[in-house]
Amino acid sequence: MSEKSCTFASQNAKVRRLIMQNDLFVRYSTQAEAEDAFRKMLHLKDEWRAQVRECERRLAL
Amino acid sequence: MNLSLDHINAKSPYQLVKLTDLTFAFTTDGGIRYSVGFYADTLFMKKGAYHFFIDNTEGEHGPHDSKIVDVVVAVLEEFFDQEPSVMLYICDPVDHRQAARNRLYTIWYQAYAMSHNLTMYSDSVKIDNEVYYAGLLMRHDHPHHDEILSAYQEFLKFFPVRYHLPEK
Repeated sequence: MSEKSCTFASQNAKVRRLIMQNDLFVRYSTQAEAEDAFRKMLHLKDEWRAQVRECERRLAL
Repeated sequence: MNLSLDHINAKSPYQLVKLTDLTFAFTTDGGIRYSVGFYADTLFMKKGAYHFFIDNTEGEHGPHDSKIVDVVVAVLEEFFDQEPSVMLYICDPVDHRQAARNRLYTIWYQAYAMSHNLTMYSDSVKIDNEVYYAGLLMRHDHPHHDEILSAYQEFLKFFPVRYHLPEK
């Protein structure tokens, strides 16, 4: 492989990595956005706990 | 993801009952009921991250029970045997005993991580004047290991009032 094609392959790998990261991660622009997401996660945890208790009730555990 | 009840029960000292694909319930020798499992979490990853929880269903306090950690280990082993995934946890601040929970969970998870080739990263964040202890576990061979760890650490930088917990 020539030096030029190596460089090209390396750049492609970098682009692929960036695309993958964008697909995989949620990005926040500000602290307020991140804090809001964290609060929503806590709320989701409470909702999930309620759903689990409802499952237990239905199964008469 | 669908965790196998049979696989978990083969290793667990308490027999679990399946509530959902990722959630189970069990009762201790002392009669205290727990739910344990995961739910999908999209806080910083769009997919592939699951929030782990173990909940004392009725809020009862019982004597120390060493079998509970063995249940947790059985559940985690089944989880990490599945497709590459990230486990997130947060210590419940509901009764302001999150620091005590964090100490216990850190002991549990660090021992588990060290013996099962897992990366563990724990930290704390402060929001609305409440400190939350949170962490992440994933297999060393997760295909996106380094990117996930970096992204999690970057995410935590949004929370300026925090202190890093020393790794043991």
